[in-house]
Amino acid sequence: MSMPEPLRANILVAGDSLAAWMGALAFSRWRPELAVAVAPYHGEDSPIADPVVIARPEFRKLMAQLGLTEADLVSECDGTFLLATRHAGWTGEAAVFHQALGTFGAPANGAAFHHYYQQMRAAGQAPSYGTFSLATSMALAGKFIHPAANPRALESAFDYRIAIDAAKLRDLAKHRALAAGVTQFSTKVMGTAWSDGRIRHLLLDGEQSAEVDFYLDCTGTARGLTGAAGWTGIQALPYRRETGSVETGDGNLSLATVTASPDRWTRELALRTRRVTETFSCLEDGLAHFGYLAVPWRGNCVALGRAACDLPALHAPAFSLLTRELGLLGALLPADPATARVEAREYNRRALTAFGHMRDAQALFEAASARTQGKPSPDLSDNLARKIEQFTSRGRLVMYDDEILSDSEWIACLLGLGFTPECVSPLAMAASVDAVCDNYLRFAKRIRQAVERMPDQQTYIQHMLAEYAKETGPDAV
Amino acid sequence: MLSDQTLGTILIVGGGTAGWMTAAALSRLAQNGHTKIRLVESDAIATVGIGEATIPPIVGFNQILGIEENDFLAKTQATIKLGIVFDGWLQPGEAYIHPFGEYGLDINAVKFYQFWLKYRESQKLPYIDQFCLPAVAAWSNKFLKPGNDPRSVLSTLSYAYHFDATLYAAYLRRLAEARGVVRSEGKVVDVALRSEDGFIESVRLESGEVIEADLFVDCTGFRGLLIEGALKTGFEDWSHWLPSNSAVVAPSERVAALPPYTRATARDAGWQWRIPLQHRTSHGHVYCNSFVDDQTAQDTLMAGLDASATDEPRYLRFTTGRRKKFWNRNCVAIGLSGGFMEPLESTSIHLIQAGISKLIALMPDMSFNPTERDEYNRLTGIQFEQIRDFLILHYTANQREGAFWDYVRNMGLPASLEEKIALFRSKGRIFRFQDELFGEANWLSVLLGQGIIPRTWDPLVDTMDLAAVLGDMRQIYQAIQKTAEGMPSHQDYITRYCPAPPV
Repeated sequence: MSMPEPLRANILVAGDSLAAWMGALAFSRWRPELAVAVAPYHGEDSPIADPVVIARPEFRKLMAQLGLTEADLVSECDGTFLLATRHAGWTGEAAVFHQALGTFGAPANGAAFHHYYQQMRAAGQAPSYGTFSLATSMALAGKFIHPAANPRALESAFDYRIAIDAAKLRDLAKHRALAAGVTQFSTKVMGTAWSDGRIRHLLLDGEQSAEVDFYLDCTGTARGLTGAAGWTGIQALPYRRETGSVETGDGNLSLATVTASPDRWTRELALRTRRVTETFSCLEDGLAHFGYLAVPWRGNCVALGRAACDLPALHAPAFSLLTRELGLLGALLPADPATARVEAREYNRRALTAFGHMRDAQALFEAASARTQGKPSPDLSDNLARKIEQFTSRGRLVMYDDEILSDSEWIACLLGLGFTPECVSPLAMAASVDAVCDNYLRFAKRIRQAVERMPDQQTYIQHMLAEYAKETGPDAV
Repeated sequence: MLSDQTLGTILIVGGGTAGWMTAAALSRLAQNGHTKIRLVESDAIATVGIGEATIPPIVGFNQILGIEENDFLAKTQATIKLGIVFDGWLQPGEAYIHPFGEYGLDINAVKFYQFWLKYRESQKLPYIDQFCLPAVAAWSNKFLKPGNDPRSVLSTLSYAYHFDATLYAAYLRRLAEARGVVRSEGKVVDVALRSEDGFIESVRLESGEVIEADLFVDCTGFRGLLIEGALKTGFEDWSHWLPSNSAVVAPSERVAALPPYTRATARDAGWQWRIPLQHRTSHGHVYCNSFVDDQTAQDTLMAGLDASATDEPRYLRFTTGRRKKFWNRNCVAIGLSGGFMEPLESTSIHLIQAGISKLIALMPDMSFNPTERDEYNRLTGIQFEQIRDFLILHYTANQREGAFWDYVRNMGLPASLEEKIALFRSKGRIFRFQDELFGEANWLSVLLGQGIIPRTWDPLVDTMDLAAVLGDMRQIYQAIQKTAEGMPSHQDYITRYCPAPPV
């Protein structure tokens, strides 16, 4: 009896997840001369863990490389433009703040706005911090326009994310990848043969095998190719993902809400045709249910998506990290991926940095919550501890390489969570408080007036889809 | 709104460029009506005066101080700087420019230089500097201020200044004194420390006057009178990586057509700068005296002047490296007192500026929380190391002959630089770390200029249509060449907007 010939390709993507098909599509676009194949994994958990993924501005570059457009995401993937997140309950029932992209206020005399905001607060003349953010004001009013190109226009002072139905995006990526020549194996990956730090071949269903140059492990938390070795659990995030719910209804498309209570938190946001709720409940079993791989690129295999890093959905890390991972892979893509030691080292360094940033962005909320409840603070990384220390001391925000959250988001979260600077910039202190209040309250009024003139997002999207239909419909030239 | 912990007095010890830049910047703090800024200096102590060439962040520094550019250019005998020409660094007879601006435009989110790497030979493309407006303008002695319209090619140009450092210090002194900074004439002869915590309590002048302060800024140059003399902070020596330890400097008459760039010419045991000013040209020869004696170094300098010398040469000795702490107790070292790196990339004044910015951002109060001090030291240390790596790059990839060049070619490198070079060699990738001063275009210019050519390029380049890419590259090239052609000469710009009074 002879063994069947191994299936061959240049790159094999294991899994049926969003990461798998995004990865396959990416490689088919980057390296059209290579044979890319996708094979399902026998033990893969639900390929779509998060029903909604959120694309940050960083995704635009990759989106262009993949041949996708915003209109594709809105039309085909139920997408909406997300301008702000309303956080409630992290530090007490009444504690509410908004996290948004773009500027809050404006710097003056070399000092950032949040220094002046502290002065306004001390003088009892400060409305909510979000009042000074165009994106937040637009979100609360359910409005949307794209940012103005003119950097001097007030309407240029914000940015946005796109909320996308994850299953639909997976299907779209799959459709595009197959159209670009990616092969889909019907046989499942059953096991992996490693030797000398490299995958020699994959064992497939039906006594088949696959032997390729480079492997992508996109099998989610099963980590079917990379295995559990090197998995680092995060004790600071003691949560478990619960099943989400999907409801019909439109509501405010521009605003997401995250509501926390002592034992859980819930995120709710709107896609174009429905609202989606996800809940993460707090566990006190001492186990780390979330974590990341310490070496995501090992030998000739890279773990992508949840196989590399799995975190709760606060700040929507899954798609941000996948975007970062694919961007890195694209930037570091070697002629021969299997022998790229320098590239692998750099990839791992930067991927771990990104994982750490996302972990820290979530741990900040845990630290604030613990502080309010009188619980001991979770273990914080040196980076996060320094960020909190510097901010609470002088209002100085430490930003590290390859941060995912923007500086304005960090400041909004730090202030919103009660990390108030003990003292502000001496440059801001030199200004008269009356003048500060007067200037910034006028600024807030300009924001309100600008928002009043904008269309609501439903109307904006309807118009956008009508244009899209003209471009892609049967009569399109 | 002041806290009762706000500093009462900040004393800057030492004038010169570092002292007066610090005083001018900190004068904004005096607007709170509580903090007093004092500066003590002695006319009897000469300033070093190295650092007449700058890099683009100086433009923003002056703007924050409210300085009117043309007035400043005229009063400091300044000229414009679009980059640095490195002559003979790879090998004698070859030159390249490190310009202040980007190369080309990204095409489909892929860096322009990646296309250049692929097609430079097969399509006989011009050298990459011809796709960079400040480089093209510099080579043809042109200048025009960048426009605000981000769609215009002119907006891709950045610039800095060459100026007379002594006149700049004087200019800032007038500004600072007008804003309330109090200057005291006198030589510091003693520094008193508090017995309980070793903080500096006061300095005593030759006249006997004792000046107390809450925070001391050491701008005393190489001596580090406070940071080292009083506080014994320690010094980290980097001369194994940057072995030059001497300079001989001399001014010459100005050249007729002012070039808008600094020139750094490699010599047998170091290199020689030429900085064009309106009233004179500044020259200096930086060398390692283990490889060449002082007289030969001086002869080399004088033979390389492009006009008659106007003063006697003078010598400087230095050790490359950094203070182990830039901020120790209640003393912050700014300028040469904090560390020294040869002015190959004109970073001396930038390091002053960066130190001031960080000090303002981390300004302590009377409690002197170590949080601010530690962060200042961390950030400044990173910046020194990043600049050090960038300077070493100029030396390590040389193809010159001679003992000095053999040494710097074969010496071990910091791991951070080795990794950066390896990534570039592999596929032309450059990543910026920790808010690095020198970005992708800066590294690219020197990496390519020093002959480090990547083995291959970004594979995404291979996926794009050759005709379309070449069409885009042609358009970019033409737009840059045409824009440069339409610019006035550097000399005409100076004559029209900022002529200095005759000396």
